[in-house]
Amino acid sequence: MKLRLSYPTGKVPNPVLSQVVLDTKVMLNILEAKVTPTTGEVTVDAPVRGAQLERVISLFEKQGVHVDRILASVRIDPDKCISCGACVSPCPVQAIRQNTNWDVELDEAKCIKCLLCVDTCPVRAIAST
Amino acid sequence: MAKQVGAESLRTYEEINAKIKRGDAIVVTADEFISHVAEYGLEASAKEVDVVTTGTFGAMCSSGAFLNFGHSEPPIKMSHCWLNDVPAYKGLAAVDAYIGATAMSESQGFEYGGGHVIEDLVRGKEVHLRGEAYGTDCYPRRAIETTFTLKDLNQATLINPRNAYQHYNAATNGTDKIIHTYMGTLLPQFGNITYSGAGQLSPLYKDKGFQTIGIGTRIFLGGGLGYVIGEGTQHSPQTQFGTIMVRGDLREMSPRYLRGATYYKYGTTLYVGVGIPIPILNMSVAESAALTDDDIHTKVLDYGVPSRGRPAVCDASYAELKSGNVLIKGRKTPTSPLSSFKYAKEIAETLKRWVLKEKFLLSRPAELLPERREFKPLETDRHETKSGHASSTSVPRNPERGESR
Repeated sequence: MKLRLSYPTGKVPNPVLSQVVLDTKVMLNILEAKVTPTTGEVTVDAPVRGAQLERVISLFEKQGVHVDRILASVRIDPDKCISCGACVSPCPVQAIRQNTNWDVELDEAKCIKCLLCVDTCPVRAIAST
Repeated sequence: MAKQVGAESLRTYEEINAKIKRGDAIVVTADEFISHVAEYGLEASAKEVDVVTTGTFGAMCSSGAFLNFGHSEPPIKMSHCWLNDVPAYKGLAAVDAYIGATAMSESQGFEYGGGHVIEDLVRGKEVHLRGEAYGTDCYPRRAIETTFTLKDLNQATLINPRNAYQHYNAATNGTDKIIHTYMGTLLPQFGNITYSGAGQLSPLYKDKGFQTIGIGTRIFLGGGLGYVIGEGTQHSPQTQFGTIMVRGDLREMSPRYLRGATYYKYGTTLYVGVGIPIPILNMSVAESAALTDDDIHTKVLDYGVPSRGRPAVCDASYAELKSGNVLIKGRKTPTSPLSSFKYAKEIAETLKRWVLKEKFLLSRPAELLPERREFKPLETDRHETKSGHASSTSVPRNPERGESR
Protein backbone atom coordinates (compact mmCIF):
# COMPACT_ATOMS: atom_id res chain seq x y z
CA MET A 1 0.00 0.00 0.00
CA LYS A 2 1.31 3.42 -0.96
CA LEU A 3 0.87 6.22 1.53
CA ARG A 4 1.17 9.95 1.16
CA LEU A 5 2.52 11.52 4.34
CA SER A 6 1.90 15.21 4.90
CA TYR A 7 4.11 16.70 7.57
CA PRO A 8 2.62 19.71 9.27
CA THR A 9 4.70 22.77 10.17
CA GLY A 10 7.16 21.95 12.91
CA LYS A 11 7.24 18.18 12.42
CA VAL A 12 9.91 18.16 9.72
CA PRO A 13 12.89 18.34 12.13
CA ASN A 14 11.68 15.18 13.92
CA PRO A 15 12.82 11.82 12.51
CA VAL A 16 9.20 10.58 12.43
CA LEU A 17 9.70 8.16 9.58
CA SER A 18 12.77 6.53 11.11
CA GLN A 19 10.89 6.17 14.39
CA VAL A 20 8.00 4.40 12.65
CA VAL A 21 10.42 2.07 10.86
CA LEU A 22 12.23 1.21 14.11
CA ASP A 23 8.97 0.67 16.01
CA THR A 24 7.24 -1.44 13.39
CA LYS A 25 10.27 -2.96 11.61
CA VAL A 26 8.36 -2.31 8.36
CA MET A 27 10.75 -1.40 5.56
CA LEU A 28 9.16 1.75 4.23
CA ASN A 29 10.40 2.69 0.79
CA ILE A 30 10.47 6.41 0.01
CA LEU A 31 9.18 6.91 -3.52
CA GLU A 32 8.96 10.66 -3.60
CA ALA A 33 9.80 13.40 -1.11
CA LYS A 34 9.23 17.12 -1.14
CA VAL A 35 10.66 18.58 2.02
CA THR A 36 11.05 22.25 2.86
CA PRO A 37 12.39 23.64 6.15
CA THR A 38 8.83 23.91 7.46
CA THR A 39 6.63 21.32 5.75
CA GLY A 40 7.02 18.08 3.91
CA GLU A 41 5.18 15.62 1.70
CA VAL A 42 6.55 12.12 1.34
CA THR A 43 5.17 9.21 -0.65
CA VAL A 44 6.16 5.83 0.73
CA ASP A 45 5.43 2.25 -0.11
CA ALA A 46 4.56 0.15 2.94
CA PRO A 47 4.88 -3.48 1.84
CA VAL A 48 2.43 -4.73 4.49
CA ARG A 49 -1.31 -5.22 4.99
CA GLY A 50 -3.95 -5.53 7.66
CA ALA A 51 -3.01 -4.88 11.28
CA GLN A 52 0.62 -4.10 10.43
CA LEU A 53 -0.43 -1.43 7.96
CA GLU A 54 -2.89 0.04 10.43
CA ARG A 55 -0.10 0.23 13.02
CA VAL A 56 2.18 2.10 10.60
CA ILE A 57 -0.60 4.57 9.82
CA SER A 58 -1.56 5.11 13.45
CA LEU A 59 2.06 5.73 14.49
CA PHE A 60 2.41 8.43 11.86
CA GLU A 61 -0.89 9.97 12.87
CA LYS A 62 0.12 9.95 16.52
CA GLN A 63 3.09 12.13 15.55
CA GLY A 64 0.73 14.56 13.81
CA VAL A 65 1.55 13.42 10.28
CA HIS A 66 -1.49 13.27 8.03
CA VAL A 67 -1.71 9.99 6.09
CA ASP A 68 -3.56 9.51 2.79
CA ARG A 69 -3.87 6.02 1.35
CA ILE A 70 -3.19 6.10 -2.39
CA LEU A 71 -5.96 3.87 -3.65
CA ALA A 72 -6.79 4.81 -7.19
CA SER A 73 -4.29 6.57 -9.38
CA VAL A 74 -4.93 7.95 -12.81
CA ARG A 75 -7.19 6.90 -15.63
CA ILE A 76 -6.31 6.80 -19.32
CA ASP A 77 -9.32 7.59 -21.51
CA PRO A 78 -9.08 5.14 -24.43
CA ASP A 79 -11.27 7.36 -26.61
CA LYS A 80 -8.89 10.28 -26.32
CA CYS A 81 -5.57 8.37 -26.22
CA ILE A 82 -3.67 8.32 -29.52
CA SER A 83 -1.20 5.65 -28.31
CA CYS A 84 1.73 7.99 -28.84
CA GLY A 85 3.82 7.04 -25.82
CA ALA A 86 4.65 10.56 -24.60
CA CYS A 87 3.64 9.51 -21.05
CA VAL A 88 5.60 6.26 -20.99
CA SER A 89 9.30 7.00 -20.45
CA PRO A 90 8.73 10.07 -18.25
CA CYS A 91 6.93 7.90 -15.66
CA PRO A 92 9.46 7.82 -12.83
CA VAL A 93 8.34 4.38 -11.59
CA GLN A 94 7.73 2.74 -14.99
CA ALA A 95 4.03 2.26 -14.22
CA ILE A 96 3.06 2.97 -17.84
CA ARG A 97 4.02 0.77 -20.75
CA GLN A 98 3.04 0.15 -24.33
CA ASN A 99 1.96 -3.32 -25.43
CA THR A 100 2.87 -4.89 -28.76
CA ASN A 101 0.06 -2.88 -30.44
CA TRP A 102 1.53 0.28 -28.90
CA ASP A 103 -1.58 0.66 -26.73
CA VAL A 104 -0.75 2.43 -23.49
CA GLU A 105 -1.31 0.41 -20.31
CA LEU A 106 -1.15 1.53 -16.70
CA ASP A 107 0.01 -0.67 -13.83
CA GLU A 108 -2.00 0.75 -10.94
CA ALA A 109 0.06 -1.10 -8.36
CA LYS A 110 3.22 0.73 -9.39
CA CYS A 111 1.65 4.18 -9.78
CA ILE A 112 2.62 6.71 -7.11
CA LYS A 113 0.15 9.30 -8.36
CA CYS A 114 2.83 11.90 -9.07
CA LEU A 115 0.60 13.05 -11.97
CA LEU A 116 3.54 13.80 -14.25
CA CYS A 117 1.73 11.84 -16.97
CA VAL A 118 -1.36 14.03 -16.66
CA ASP A 119 0.61 17.11 -17.72
CA THR A 120 2.73 15.20 -20.21
CA CYS A 121 -0.16 13.76 -22.22
CA PRO A 122 -0.42 15.91 -25.38
CA VAL A 123 -4.12 15.15 -25.87
CA ARG A 124 -5.22 15.33 -22.21
CA ALA A 125 -6.28 11.69 -22.17
CA ILE A 126 -5.01 11.08 -18.63
CA ALA A 127 -6.88 12.32 -15.60
CA SER A 128 -6.35 11.94 -11.90
CA THR A 129 -9.06 9.81 -10.30
CA MET B 1 26.15 5.25 -67.27
CA ALA B 2 25.01 7.18 -64.21
CA LYS B 3 21.70 6.07 -62.82
CA GLN B 4 18.98 8.59 -63.49
CA VAL B 5 17.09 9.83 -60.44
CA GLY B 6 13.52 8.60 -60.60
CA ALA B 7 14.26 6.32 -63.57
CA GLU B 8 11.26 4.11 -64.29
CA SER B 9 13.31 1.04 -65.07
CA LEU B 10 11.16 -1.51 -63.22
CA ARG B 11 7.76 0.00 -64.01
CA THR B 12 6.24 3.33 -65.00
CA TYR B 13 3.51 5.35 -63.28
CA GLU B 14 1.23 4.55 -66.22
CA GLU B 15 1.82 0.82 -65.83
CA ILE B 16 1.12 1.01 -62.09
CA ASN B 17 -2.07 3.00 -62.60
CA ALA B 18 -3.27 0.63 -65.31
CA LYS B 19 -2.82 -2.24 -62.84
CA ILE B 20 -4.63 -0.32 -60.09
CA LYS B 21 -7.54 0.30 -62.47
CA ARG B 22 -7.61 -3.38 -63.48
CA GLY B 23 -7.43 -4.35 -59.83
CA ASP B 24 -4.27 -6.44 -60.04
CA ALA B 25 -1.66 -4.06 -58.62
CA ILE B 26 0.50 -5.48 -55.84
CA VAL B 27 0.36 -3.02 -52.96
CA VAL B 28 1.89 -3.66 -49.54
CA THR B 29 2.69 -1.58 -46.48
CA ALA B 30 6.33 -0.80 -45.68
CA ASP B 31 6.20 -3.33 -42.82
CA GLU B 32 4.92 -6.01 -45.20
CA PHE B 33 7.52 -5.09 -47.84
CA ILE B 34 10.29 -5.58 -45.28
CA SER B 35 8.97 -9.07 -44.43
CA HIS B 36 8.66 -9.86 -48.13
CA VAL B 37 12.26 -8.81 -48.78
CA ALA B 38 13.45 -10.88 -45.81
CA GLU B 39 11.75 -13.92 -47.31
CA TYR B 40 12.27 -13.56 -51.07
CA GLY B 41 15.17 -11.14 -51.36
CA LEU B 42 15.24 -7.55 -52.59
CA GLU B 43 15.33 -8.24 -56.30
CA ALA B 44 12.38 -10.63 -56.36
CA SER B 45 10.36 -8.35 -54.09
CA ALA B 46 11.10 -5.28 -56.19
CA LYS B 47 9.95 -7.15 -59.31
CA GLU B 48 6.73 -8.26 -57.65
CA VAL B 49 5.59 -5.26 -55.63
CA ASP B 50 4.26 -2.18 -57.42
CA VAL B 51 3.58 0.16 -54.53
CA VAL B 52 4.71 0.39 -50.89
CA THR B 53 2.51 2.43 -48.55
CA THR B 54 3.85 4.37 -45.57
CA GLY B 55 2.46 6.36 -42.68
CA THR B 56 3.27 8.66 -39.82
CA PHE B 57 1.23 10.39 -37.12
CA GLY B 58 3.12 12.94 -35.12
CA ALA B 59 3.13 16.45 -33.74
CA MET B 60 3.84 18.78 -36.66
CA CYS B 61 4.00 22.39 -35.50
CA SER B 62 4.35 23.85 -38.97
CA SER B 63 0.74 23.16 -39.84
CA GLY B 64 -2.31 25.32 -40.32
CA ALA B 65 -5.31 26.08 -42.47
CA PHE B 66 -6.38 28.84 -44.82
CA LEU B 67 -10.04 29.70 -44.26
CA ASN B 68 -12.40 31.88 -46.26
CA PHE B 69 -15.38 32.98 -44.17
CA GLY B 70 -17.49 34.62 -46.88
CA HIS B 71 -18.66 38.24 -46.68
CA SER B 72 -20.94 39.66 -44.02
CA GLU B 73 -23.53 42.41 -44.59
CA PRO B 74 -22.25 45.09 -44.38
CA PRO B 75 -18.87 43.69 -45.35
CA ILE B 76 -15.69 43.83 -43.30
CA LYS B 77 -11.98 43.67 -44.10
CA MET B 78 -10.76 42.15 -40.86
CA SER B 79 -7.34 43.31 -39.74
CA HIS B 80 -7.33 40.95 -36.77
CA CYS B 81 -9.44 37.93 -35.98
CA TRP B 82 -9.74 35.22 -33.36
CA LEU B 83 -11.19 31.72 -33.64
CA ASN B 84 -12.33 30.49 -30.24
CA ASP B 85 -10.04 33.21 -28.87
CA VAL B 86 -7.03 31.94 -30.83
CA PRO B 87 -5.52 34.64 -33.06
CA ALA B 88 -5.43 33.83 -36.78
CA TYR B 89 -3.19 35.56 -39.31
CA LYS B 90 -5.06 38.35 -41.08
CA GLY B 91 -2.43 39.89 -43.33
CA LEU B 92 -4.49 38.70 -46.27
CA ALA B 93 -7.66 39.74 -48.14
CA ALA B 94 -10.82 40.81 -46.29
CA VAL B 95 -12.17 37.46 -45.13
CA ASP B 96 -9.21 35.14 -45.68
CA ALA B 97 -7.30 33.98 -42.62
CA TYR B 98 -4.62 31.45 -41.70
CA ILE B 99 -4.99 29.61 -38.44
CA GLY B 100 -1.66 28.17 -37.35
CA ALA B 101 -1.31 25.14 -35.07
CA THR B 102 0.91 26.81 -32.48
CA ALA B 103 -1.17 30.00 -32.00
CA MET B 104 -2.50 29.89 -28.45
CA SER B 105 -5.82 30.96 -26.99
CA GLU B 106 -5.76 34.36 -25.34
CA SER B 107 -8.03 33.07 -22.59
CA GLN B 108 -7.03 29.40 -22.16
CA GLY B 109 -3.34 29.68 -23.05
CA PHE B 110 -1.53 26.38 -23.33
CA GLU B 111 -4.71 24.32 -23.06
CA TYR B 112 -6.17 25.36 -26.41
CA GLY B 113 -4.59 26.53 -29.62
CA GLY B 114 -4.80 26.64 -33.38
CA GLY B 115 -4.35 22.86 -33.58
CA HIS B 116 -7.44 22.43 -31.42
CA VAL B 117 -9.42 24.90 -33.57
CA ILE B 118 -8.56 22.81 -36.64
CA GLU B 119 -9.59 19.60 -34.85
CA ASP B 120 -12.86 21.20 -33.69
CA LEU B 121 -13.62 22.38 -37.23
CA VAL B 122 -13.05 18.88 -38.60
CA ARG B 123 -15.27 17.49 -35.83
CA GLY B 124 -18.03 19.73 -37.17
CA LYS B 125 -18.12 21.80 -33.98
CA GLU B 126 -19.25 25.39 -33.96
CA VAL B 127 -16.34 27.85 -33.79
CA HIS B 128 -16.61 31.40 -32.48
CA LEU B 129 -15.27 34.14 -34.75
CA ARG B 130 -14.38 37.60 -33.55
CA GLY B 131 -12.94 40.16 -35.94
CA GLU B 132 -11.81 43.77 -35.91
CA ALA B 133 -11.28 46.26 -38.70
CA TYR B 134 -10.47 49.94 -39.18
CA GLY B 135 -13.26 50.31 -41.76
CA THR B 136 -12.88 51.48 -45.35
CA ASP B 137 -15.20 53.00 -47.91
CA CYS B 138 -15.62 49.58 -49.50
CA TYR B 139 -15.58 47.57 -46.23
CA PRO B 140 -17.37 49.83 -43.74
CA ARG B 141 -17.92 47.31 -40.95
CA ARG B 142 -15.50 47.61 -38.03
CA ALA B 143 -16.34 44.66 -35.82
CA ILE B 144 -17.85 41.24 -36.19
CA GLU B 145 -18.80 38.43 -33.87
CA THR B 146 -20.48 35.22 -34.97
CA THR B 147 -20.18 31.46 -35.03
CA PHE B 148 -19.61 29.12 -37.93
CA THR B 149 -18.91 25.48 -38.73
CA LEU B 150 -16.65 23.93 -41.35
CA LYS B 151 -19.65 23.54 -43.70
CA ASP B 152 -20.29 27.30 -43.69
CA LEU B 153 -16.84 28.15 -45.07
CA ASN B 154 -16.12 28.68 -48.75
CA GLN B 155 -12.69 27.11 -48.47
CA ALA B 156 -10.89 25.40 -45.62
CA THR B 157 -7.52 24.25 -46.90
CA LEU B 158 -4.92 22.64 -44.73
CA ILE B 159 -1.53 23.91 -45.89
CA ASN B 160 1.35 22.70 -43.80
CA PRO B 161 4.71 24.31 -44.57
CA ARG B 162 6.69 21.48 -42.94
CA ASN B 163 5.50 17.94 -42.32
CA ALA B 164 6.74 14.39 -42.11
CA TYR B 165 10.45 14.78 -41.30
CA GLN B 166 12.32 11.77 -42.73
CA HIS B 167 13.60 11.02 -39.22
CA TYR B 168 14.19 13.11 -36.14
CA ASN B 169 16.64 13.46 -33.27
CA ALA B 170 15.84 11.67 -30.04
CA ALA B 171 15.93 13.67 -26.81
CA THR B 172 17.31 13.28 -23.32
CA ASN B 173 18.22 15.63 -20.47
CA GLY B 174 21.61 15.80 -18.78
CA THR B 175 20.71 18.50 -16.27
CA ASP B 176 19.66 18.03 -12.65
CA LYS B 177 16.17 19.33 -13.27
CA ILE B 178 13.13 17.97 -15.07
CA ILE B 179 12.54 19.86 -18.31
CA HIS B 180 9.47 20.19 -20.53
CA THR B 181 10.21 20.50 -24.23
CA TYR B 182 8.66 19.98 -27.62
CA MET B 183 10.16 16.50 -27.22
CA GLY B 184 7.99 16.00 -24.15
CA THR B 185 8.91 15.59 -20.51
CA LEU B 186 12.57 14.77 -19.91
CA LEU B 187 13.63 13.49 -16.51
CA PRO B 188 16.90 14.72 -14.94
CA GLN B 189 20.27 13.02 -15.31
CA PHE B 190 19.47 11.20 -18.53
CA GLY B 191 16.37 9.72 -16.88
CA ASN B 192 14.60 8.94 -20.13
CA ILE B 193 14.71 9.31 -23.91
CA THR B 194 11.87 10.44 -26.13
CA TYR B 195 11.93 10.11 -29.89
CA SER B 196 9.80 10.95 -32.86
CA GLY B 197 9.25 9.70 -36.39
CA ALA B 198 7.80 6.49 -37.73
CA GLY B 199 11.07 4.63 -38.38
CA GLN B 200 10.60 1.98 -41.04
CA LEU B 201 7.10 3.28 -41.84
CA SER B 202 8.31 6.88 -42.30
CA PRO B 203 7.06 8.16 -45.68
CA LEU B 204 10.11 10.21 -46.62
CA TYR B 205 12.64 7.59 -45.43
CA LYS B 206 11.09 5.01 -47.72
CA ASP B 207 12.08 7.14 -50.69
CA LYS B 208 15.29 8.31 -49.10
CA GLY B 209 16.69 9.79 -52.31
CA PHE B 210 13.46 11.66 -53.20
CA GLN B 211 13.16 9.78 -56.48
CA THR B 212 9.36 9.55 -56.45
CA ILE B 213 8.05 12.20 -54.05
CA GLY B 214 7.67 15.65 -55.55
CA ILE B 215 5.28 18.46 -56.37
CA GLY B 216 1.93 16.91 -57.15
CA THR B 217 2.40 13.60 -55.35
CA ARG B 218 -1.03 12.46 -54.18
CA ILE B 219 -1.01 11.46 -50.50
CA PHE B 220 -3.07 10.58 -47.44
CA LEU B 221 -3.37 13.76 -45.39
CA GLY B 222 -5.33 13.98 -42.16
CA GLY B 223 -7.61 11.14 -43.19
CA GLY B 224 -8.40 12.72 -46.56
CA LEU B 225 -6.72 13.25 -49.86
CA GLY B 226 -3.82 15.65 -50.08
CA TYR B 227 -0.92 16.64 -52.26
CA VAL B 228 2.73 17.40 -51.81
CA ILE B 229 3.17 20.98 -53.00
CA GLY B 230 6.90 21.35 -52.55
CA GLU B 231 9.86 20.87 -50.28
CA GLY B 232 9.03 21.63 -46.66
CA THR B 233 10.79 24.33 -44.70
CA GLN B 234 14.19 23.24 -43.33
CA HIS B 235 14.26 20.48 -45.97
CA SER B 236 17.67 18.85 -45.60
CA PRO B 237 17.56 15.54 -47.46
CA GLN B 238 21.32 14.99 -47.51
CA THR B 239 21.18 14.47 -43.72
CA GLN B 240 17.86 12.55 -43.86
CA PHE B 241 16.02 15.56 -42.47
CA GLY B 242 13.99 15.97 -45.64
CA THR B 243 10.51 17.49 -45.26
CA ILE B 244 7.48 18.24 -47.43
CA MET B 245 4.93 21.01 -47.76
CA VAL B 246 1.43 19.61 -48.17
CA ARG B 247 -2.13 20.73 -48.86
CA GLY B 248 -5.54 19.16 -48.61
CA ASP B 249 -9.21 20.00 -48.20
CA LEU B 250 -10.05 20.10 -44.50
CA ARG B 251 -13.64 19.13 -45.31
CA GLU B 252 -12.50 15.67 -46.42
CA MET B 253 -10.42 15.03 -43.34
CA SER B 254 -11.07 13.14 -40.13
CA PRO B 255 -10.51 14.18 -36.50
CA ARG B 256 -8.87 10.79 -35.97
CA TYR B 257 -5.89 11.94 -38.00
CA LEU B 258 -5.83 15.63 -37.09
CA ARG B 259 -5.56 16.14 -33.35
CA GLY B 260 -4.93 19.35 -31.48
CA ALA B 261 -2.31 18.82 -28.79
CA THR B 262 -0.45 20.57 -25.98
CA TYR B 263 3.14 20.02 -25.03
CA TYR B 264 3.33 20.97 -21.37
CA LYS B 265 5.07 24.31 -20.82
CA TYR B 266 5.93 24.41 -24.51
CA GLY B 267 2.74 25.17 -26.39
CA THR B 268 0.07 23.86 -28.69
CA THR B 269 0.54 21.91 -31.88
CA LEU B 270 -1.27 19.58 -34.27
CA TYR B 271 -0.84 15.83 -34.67
CA VAL B 272 -1.05 15.21 -38.41
CA GLY B 273 -1.47 11.90 -40.18
CA VAL B 274 0.52 11.63 -43.41
CA GLY B 275 0.81 8.60 -45.69
CA ILE B 276 2.60 8.41 -49.02
CA PRO B 277 2.47 5.64 -51.63
CA ILE B 278 5.94 4.83 -52.95
CA PRO B 279 5.96 3.45 -56.49
CA ILE B 280 8.75 0.89 -56.82
CA LEU B 281 10.13 2.45 -60.00
CA ASN B 282 13.65 1.08 -59.80
CA MET B 283 15.99 -0.99 -57.63
CA SER B 284 17.28 2.02 -55.75
CA VAL B 285 13.76 3.02 -54.66
CA ALA B 286 13.12 -0.61 -53.67
CA GLU B 287 16.30 -0.63 -51.59
CA SER B 288 15.18 2.47 -49.74
CA ALA B 289 11.63 1.15 -49.22
CA ALA B 290 13.14 -2.00 -47.70
CA LEU B 291 15.11 -0.15 -45.00
CA THR B 292 14.31 -1.45 -41.53
CA ASP B 293 14.27 0.06 -38.05
CA ASP B 294 17.77 -1.41 -37.65
CA ASP B 295 18.99 0.57 -40.65
CA ILE B 296 17.54 3.92 -39.58
CA HIS B 297 19.72 5.63 -37.02
CA THR B 298 19.37 8.86 -35.14
CA LYS B 299 21.29 10.89 -32.59
CA VAL B 300 20.18 11.22 -29.00
CA LEU B 301 20.64 14.90 -28.15
CA ASP B 302 20.88 16.54 -24.74
CA TYR B 303 17.92 18.93 -24.68
CA GLY B 304 19.18 20.14 -21.30
CA VAL B 305 21.55 22.35 -23.30
CA PRO B 306 19.34 25.23 -24.47
CA SER B 307 21.28 25.83 -27.65
CA ARG B 308 20.72 25.11 -31.32
CA GLY B 309 23.92 23.06 -31.12
CA ARG B 310 22.68 20.51 -28.61
CA PRO B 311 25.40 17.92 -27.99
CA ALA B 312 24.81 14.32 -29.02
CA VAL B 313 24.91 11.85 -26.14
CA CYS B 314 24.80 8.69 -28.23
CA ASP B 315 23.51 7.18 -31.44
CA ALA B 316 20.58 4.77 -31.61
CA SER B 317 18.63 2.92 -34.28
CA TYR B 318 14.85 3.06 -34.33
CA ALA B 319 14.93 -0.65 -33.48
CA GLU B 320 16.88 0.13 -30.30
CA LEU B 321 14.61 3.07 -29.48
CA LYS B 322 11.52 0.91 -30.01
CA SER B 323 12.91 -1.81 -27.72
CA GLY B 324 12.13 0.42 -24.71
CA ASN B 325 15.70 0.90 -23.48
CA VAL B 326 18.88 2.48 -24.79
CA LEU B 327 22.20 2.54 -22.99
CA ILE B 328 23.48 5.97 -21.99
CA LYS B 329 26.90 5.81 -20.36
CA GLY B 330 26.35 2.14 -19.63
CA ARG B 331 22.98 2.71 -17.96
CA LYS B 332 19.71 1.35 -19.30
CA THR B 333 17.58 4.39 -20.08
CA PRO B 334 13.83 4.04 -20.74
CA THR B 335 12.70 5.25 -24.17
CA SER B 336 9.28 6.08 -25.53
CA PRO B 337 7.93 7.56 -28.74
CA LEU B 338 6.02 10.83 -29.17
CA SER B 339 4.49 10.01 -32.51
CA SER B 340 2.01 7.15 -32.66
CA PHE B 341 3.23 3.91 -34.26
CA LYS B 342 -0.27 2.50 -33.90
CA TYR B 343 -1.75 5.28 -36.02
CA ALA B 344 1.21 5.25 -38.44
CA LYS B 345 0.51 1.59 -39.15
CA GLU B 346 -3.21 2.29 -39.49
CA ILE B 347 -2.46 5.07 -42.02
CA ALA B 348 -0.18 2.81 -44.12
CA GLU B 349 -2.91 0.14 -44.08
CA THR B 350 -5.65 2.64 -44.95
CA LEU B 351 -3.62 3.99 -47.86
CA LYS B 352 -3.03 0.43 -49.08
CA ARG B 353 -6.78 -0.14 -49.01
CA TRP B 354 -7.41 3.12 -50.88
CA VAL B 355 -5.00 2.14 -53.66
CA LEU B 356 -6.40 -1.39 -53.89
CA LYS B 357 -10.12 -0.80 -53.38
CA GLU B 358 -10.78 2.84 -54.08
CA LYS B 359 -8.60 3.27 -57.12
CA PHE B 360 -6.34 5.87 -55.49
CA LEU B 361 -4.02 6.49 -58.44
CA LEU B 362 -0.40 7.46 -58.17
CA SER B 363 0.60 10.79 -59.62
CA ARG B 364 3.83 11.46 -61.44
CA PRO B 365 5.31 14.53 -59.77
CA ALA B 366 5.46 17.70 -61.87
CA GLU B 367 8.86 18.29 -60.31
CA LEU B 368 10.98 16.25 -57.90
CA LEU B 369 12.20 17.81 -54.66
CA PRO B 370 15.80 18.93 -54.27
CA GLU B 371 18.20 16.18 -53.16
CA ARG B 372 20.37 18.72 -51.35
CA ARG B 373 19.50 21.85 -49.44
CA GLU B 374 21.72 23.79 -47.09
CA PHE B 375 20.20 24.19 -43.60
CA LYS B 376 21.41 27.60 -42.54
CA PRO B 377 21.36 29.07 -39.02
CA LEU B 378 20.25 32.61 -38.17
CA GLU B 379 23.09 34.84 -37.07
CA THR B 380 22.27 37.61 -34.62
CA ASP B 381 23.78 41.08 -34.40
CA ARG B 382 23.44 41.57 -30.69
CA HIS B 383 23.18 39.50 -27.58
CA GLU B 384 19.88 38.99 -25.86
CA THR B 385 19.53 41.12 -22.76
CA LYS B 386 18.55 39.39 -19.56
CA SER B 387 15.57 41.58 -18.74
CA GLY B 388 14.24 42.79 -22.03
CA HIS B 389 13.31 39.66 -23.98
CA ALA B 390 10.08 38.10 -25.09
CA SER B 391 7.80 39.82 -22.64
CA SER B 392 5.30 40.73 -25.31
CA THR B 393 1.78 41.27 -24.06
CA SER B 394 0.36 39.19 -26.89
CA VAL B 395 1.86 36.00 -25.46
CA PRO B 396 -0.82 34.40 -23.32
CA ARG B 397 0.14 33.68 -19.78
CA ASN B 398 -1.35 30.68 -18.16
CA PRO B 399 -1.90 31.46 -14.53
CA GLU B 400 -1.71 27.84 -13.43
CA ARG B 401 1.20 26.67 -15.47
CA GLY B 402 3.52 29.63 -15.53
CA GLU B 403 5.13 31.06 -18.58
CA SER B 404 6.74 29.06 -21.29
CA ARG B 405 9.70 30.07 -23.34
